[in-house]
Amino acid sequence: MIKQLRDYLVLPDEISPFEANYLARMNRISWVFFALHLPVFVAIAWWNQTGPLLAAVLTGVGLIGPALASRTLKNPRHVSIVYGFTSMLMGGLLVHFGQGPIQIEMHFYFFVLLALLSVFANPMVNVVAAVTVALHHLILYFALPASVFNYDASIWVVVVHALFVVLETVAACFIARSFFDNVIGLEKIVARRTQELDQRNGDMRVLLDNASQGFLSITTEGTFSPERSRVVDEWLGAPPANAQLSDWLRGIDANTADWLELGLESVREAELPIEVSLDQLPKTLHRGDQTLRIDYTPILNRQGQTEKLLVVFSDLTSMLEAKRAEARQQEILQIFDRIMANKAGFLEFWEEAERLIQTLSAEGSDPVTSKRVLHTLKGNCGIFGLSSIAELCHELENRLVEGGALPTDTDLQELDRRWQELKRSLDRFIGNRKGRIEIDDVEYESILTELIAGAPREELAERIASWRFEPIERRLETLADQAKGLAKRLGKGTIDIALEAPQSLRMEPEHWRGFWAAFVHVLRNAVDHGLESKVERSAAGKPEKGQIQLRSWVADNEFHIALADDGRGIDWERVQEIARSQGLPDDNTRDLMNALFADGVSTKTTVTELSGRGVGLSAVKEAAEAREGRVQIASEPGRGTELRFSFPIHQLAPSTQRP
Amino acid sequence: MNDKKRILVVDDSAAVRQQVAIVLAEAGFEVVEAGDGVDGASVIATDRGIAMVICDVNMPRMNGLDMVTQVKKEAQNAALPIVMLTTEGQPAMIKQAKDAGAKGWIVKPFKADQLVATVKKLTAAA
Repeated sequence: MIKQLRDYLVLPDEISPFEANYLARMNRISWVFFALHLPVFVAIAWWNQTGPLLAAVLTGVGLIGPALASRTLKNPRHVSIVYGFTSMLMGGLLVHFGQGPIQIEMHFYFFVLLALLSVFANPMVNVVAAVTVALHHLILYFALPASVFNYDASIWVVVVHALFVVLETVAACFIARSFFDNVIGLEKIVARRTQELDQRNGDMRVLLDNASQGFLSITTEGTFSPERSRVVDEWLGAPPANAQLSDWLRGIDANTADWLELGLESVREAELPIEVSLDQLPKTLHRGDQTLRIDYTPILNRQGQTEKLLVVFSDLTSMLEAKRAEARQQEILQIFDRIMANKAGFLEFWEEAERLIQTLSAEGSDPVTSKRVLHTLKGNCGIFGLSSIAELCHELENRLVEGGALPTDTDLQELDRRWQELKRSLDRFIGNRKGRIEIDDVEYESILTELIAGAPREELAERIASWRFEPIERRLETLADQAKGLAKRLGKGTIDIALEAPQSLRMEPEHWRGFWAAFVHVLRNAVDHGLESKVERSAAGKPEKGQIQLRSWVADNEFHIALADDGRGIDWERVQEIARSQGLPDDNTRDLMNALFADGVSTKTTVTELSGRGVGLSAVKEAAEAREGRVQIASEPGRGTELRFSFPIHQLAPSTQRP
Repeated sequence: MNDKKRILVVDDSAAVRQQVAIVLAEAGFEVVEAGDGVDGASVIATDRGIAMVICDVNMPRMNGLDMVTQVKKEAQNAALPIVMLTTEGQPAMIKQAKDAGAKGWIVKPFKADQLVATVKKLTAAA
């Protein structure tokens, strides 16, 4: 309570420049005002015959206080307080020198002054004045009663005077304090608020200057706000004078600018639902290599209508770049994986792929060749993990199949660029292995032992010659792995693959390379076209896992390779339909089988990324025939298909011994 | 008494018409289809119960823009809401269609909820 009273009467320490200025002016006015009392009091004293000289002296002494105070006191409030004291002194002098018939009325002046002191906006001035006047009256009442009353007043009269003073002082203090709080001190409050705002603006600026996203707000007319993050200007360049976002974007991407204008028009018209209109605003901006994403958030007014939009630009470049880099890395890892699993196979593929790319780029390549090359390249790249090349080939093949458009120079350059990129990453690795033969420790020890033991030269030569050869078993194992991976990618789940090949069967990789490259298509056909989906299989009462058999054996001076599946079998009716539509003979099974191996026949209607364009079988047939082989096909609807390749046994011999 | 609102879908792709039809039928609309601008315009001329038109831009015989222009020439079609179906990359075409009287556009491939919201909003106003 006491503390509250004190806080109310005593102002807070801080003095704003405005208050200091105001008080200096009030103190000056007060000085002039009280200085004028001197001639007036002299005149009153003369008139009332109370001693003009004494009046001059005493008033002059009363003025010494403020004169000294204004020169020595730094704090203008303290000077004001001196005036509180001085004013009451002047009141007392008036009552003293105004002795006569209206001496009592001269007391009014105290009340006038007490009220006037409120202009200092400082309750302490009023309190000091009130205390001064109270003490003054009490002392003079006893010491010099004639100076106070013109009649024999009793002490209660003094008490009545004092009560009026207290009452007025309470009111005056209230006025002074309110005056301070709402006017004089307001400057301070405003200053503090301004400072806070400045601080907040500063913080906001820091935020906008350092945010990695571009923020700005636009009206539905497309006018952007001056407050925005710094990167916006960095990305978009110098803003246009008309402050239209679409004009700002136009220099970078005219299409985006057009869509923005149309989209904002749609937002303004509000014919379509707002979420539809917002969704139609352009979402990306391409600036050179940079890709910016644009997001829009509506800023609603009180009626819930969209008044403005918050536009946020985010730089996706590094994210997309990182994604691409990750994909590239993934690709390289995949490739290494394949190389580790089958080095010889990979090297074959690598050389063949290079040749195919050259064929593709060669002048005057016709659609049929291009289609075939793209298809082979796609398939092989897919198997050996070069997914970026496989995807590109798929795209080009699609265009060729659907629109008959041959790959353009730009397409081929892109293909070459990607190829060279991969080549750079792999060359060192592959280069080291080209033209090398690797043998395992057991073989090394064994041949060394035999050499020391003096084994016949022919026998040793044959062994060493076979180092260049590849066991068929290993080749089939690799193919089986590839088929399993393929089945997963096609959503056929795990499949069972049975392998059967005598260990002793080896073949010269160089000679057989073309065949295996084409055989991959047949294997792919079996997985993609032959095996049904899990659902179909269980509906047909078959085991959920698809069964594939890969076998090779020698019989009757022939060497056979067979691939069998337990899938849906060949739809001969469909083959007949297609054969007819392509003008091929379709009278008997042989005709149909020939049709099946003709270029451009596929019985699966949907074209998947992996196969199904009717180029597989014809390629493998050609490859087999090039090695004196033949191919037979046996298929039963609902039971499965077997493809059997048969070659004369001498095809297995080294090229030097082959007739 | 059939109180379902009738929506005309004009698109040369049967697949797109079917997609729109399925989405709108599920939302309680009746769908009438037309394969190009000529057929679309004649349906509008004969069937006064059409509450709204969804129209492709690129079509044989008469494209969407020409159809909107022709249809909107008739005073009786002034209030008929038309929305264009478009792929990205044709802002100029959309601008012309809007100038010709189309209410707006929907981007293909469309989002089902947005298509339904648009049709509901435009047919409610009609």
